[in-house]
Amino acid sequence: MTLQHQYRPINPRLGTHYAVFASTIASLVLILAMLEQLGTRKLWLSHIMIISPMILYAGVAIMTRTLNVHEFFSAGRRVPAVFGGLSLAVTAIGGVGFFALTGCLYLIGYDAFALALGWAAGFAVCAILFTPFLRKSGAYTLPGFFRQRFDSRVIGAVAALLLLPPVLMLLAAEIRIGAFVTSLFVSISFELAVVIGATLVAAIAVLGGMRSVSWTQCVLYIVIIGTFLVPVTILSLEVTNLPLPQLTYGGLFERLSAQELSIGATQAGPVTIEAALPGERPEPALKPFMAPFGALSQSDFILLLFCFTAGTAAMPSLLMRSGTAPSVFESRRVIGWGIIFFGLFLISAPAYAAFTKFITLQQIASALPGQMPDWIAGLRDAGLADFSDRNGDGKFDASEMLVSRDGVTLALPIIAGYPFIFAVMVAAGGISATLAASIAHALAAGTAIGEDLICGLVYRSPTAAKRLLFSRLGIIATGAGVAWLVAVVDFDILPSVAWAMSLAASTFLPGLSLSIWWPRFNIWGLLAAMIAGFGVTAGYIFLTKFSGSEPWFGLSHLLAATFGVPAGFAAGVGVTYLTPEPKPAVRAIGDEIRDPSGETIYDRVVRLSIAADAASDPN
Amino acid sequence: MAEDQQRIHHRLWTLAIAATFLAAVAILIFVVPLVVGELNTYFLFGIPVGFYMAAQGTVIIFAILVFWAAGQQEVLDRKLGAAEDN
Repeated sequence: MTLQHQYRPINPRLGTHYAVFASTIASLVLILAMLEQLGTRKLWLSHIMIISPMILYAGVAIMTRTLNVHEFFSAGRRVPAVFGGLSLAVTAIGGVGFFALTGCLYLIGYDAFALALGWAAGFAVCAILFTPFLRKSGAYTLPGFFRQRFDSRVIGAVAALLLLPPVLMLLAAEIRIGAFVTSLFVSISFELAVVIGATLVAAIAVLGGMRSVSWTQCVLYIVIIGTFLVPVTILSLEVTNLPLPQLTYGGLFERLSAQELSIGATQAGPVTIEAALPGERPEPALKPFMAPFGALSQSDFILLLFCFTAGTAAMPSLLMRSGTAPSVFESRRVIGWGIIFFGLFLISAPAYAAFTKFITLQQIASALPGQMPDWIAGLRDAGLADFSDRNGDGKFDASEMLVSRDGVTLALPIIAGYPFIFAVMVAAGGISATLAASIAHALAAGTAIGEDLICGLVYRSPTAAKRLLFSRLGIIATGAGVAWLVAVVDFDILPSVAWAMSLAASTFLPGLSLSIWWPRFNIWGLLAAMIAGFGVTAGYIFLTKFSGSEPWFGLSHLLAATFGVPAGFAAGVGVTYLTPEPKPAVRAIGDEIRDPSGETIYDRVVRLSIAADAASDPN
Repeated sequence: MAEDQQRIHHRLWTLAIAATFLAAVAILIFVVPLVVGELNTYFLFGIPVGFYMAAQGTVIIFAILVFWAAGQQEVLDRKLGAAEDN
């Protein structure tokens, strides 16, 4: 409260600004659509459509640049709940949601809800367990919270080290998918797209830290949800006469089931989770859309859901956002709005998948027998779809159509026969989604390196300039490191997201819940919880995936948090009871975090140190 | 002494809200997918209920739950003198 007058209040014209951004993008699409009809070359259209939004985002980041520590790390604590919700939603959607989730829904139908529901439930869990308490603490980063809670710089550095693997895995997955889509539509190589993407991500995060990340993400949400909804809404209008795909796709189910039956898509028995989750290569969509547990077994579905819930709830790049809300009350609502905005995407994605599947099967069925619709050639050249002569009769039929998981979202406008600009628009939206998630992950990783590793270990009380410098260097190092990793290592994004979720869940969920909710919890317990959780999960993934050990209870390495989270809790509670009770000062901080009233703890520390400096200054 | 009691009161009620909330979330994500076969015999907007819950229902209920819990917590904070503005 006391600090508030030093900063500008919430900007009353925020809504107007974002309306202007939204109409700029809409008019860009309309102008390009007209130019396409006038015969402008496709190459020009795709370049303009993909590059100009990036310039807009960079512009927002430049406008929100800052040299103030409080602005850099927490956007001045004046992001209202609605806008905080927008930022949270895009961080969670990302390119993984935009492309991979939609593709999984297309290929394995109901079973892909394990991912979608896991993300949504993770939001809900962190709203009640963590967010308001982190906001009361006011720490800028998750390791910073541990440092403040237990008054130890070492624990912050340990947490920062353990934070890097999951966050960097997510960042690498986002950059990879973003660069892949960019290289499809812009005439540059994949490697160059990686470098440009990582540079843009690092630039936005470096310019204004949390401040520019927050406000850029709000623009990004508008672009992402708009580009995602426009094609499927038009298709819904064409097929069902109602422009509400989320409500109308129920009416498709009977026709979709009949189509699926006619191509021989039947309920296959559950297979292992690695085989069930679609990979990057094109594959046939032979699992009925609606049937539950045709690909994943019921227990794998529930456990995958658990891993994603726990991982999302404890994801450092999402938890960092709690510091930006103006108050503890507001921080609770941020998550509510986050679920609403993320939910709009989550309830549209199955509609998108259902309509894409319907139109694909309809187009193939209405083509001449044995002939392929002409869009297949285009999709095949881009590597998004393929066909295989499975039954060896030399003719093409619908069951022989293979679709690549990450290509489903891009394929809808092409298959439905919309103007080329629609496909590019969806691509631009998807690239924006990867950018939106990447900047949050890059900021979380970079500030962990700068603020908690370097400043935390080296300086007792670092100056503002040093904190900004090292965090910025940390972000640049993160961007460079991940760009190198993505360009050199060939990996599939979905398993790496699943591993990142498991790692984040088992490292931070036990330690964070115990340090907020259990007064007896001490620093040794936290250390044990984080190391045991991380060790068990990382060890399990390594042993079963890379060194060929037998999995325990037949559980895949994609479900590693099933062992990691209980191990973290057990180690945390056990070690706490074996070591002395926490000091009264540490207990007092724990008590204060749970009381919503009073000044934000971090801000009070800053205020007192400023006052002490002023008092000791002879002038 | 009265203040201490008020604080314990606040703690317990906060815990009760959180426990109710987490129980609801656990039912939605762990129990509803278990009985999806039975739920699929009912229909909503032409969509089988089991599928509808996973596709839309659960997410909508989450949003309502979060705002409900935030509202309850605010009422509690005000009543027990833990609101931010005092």
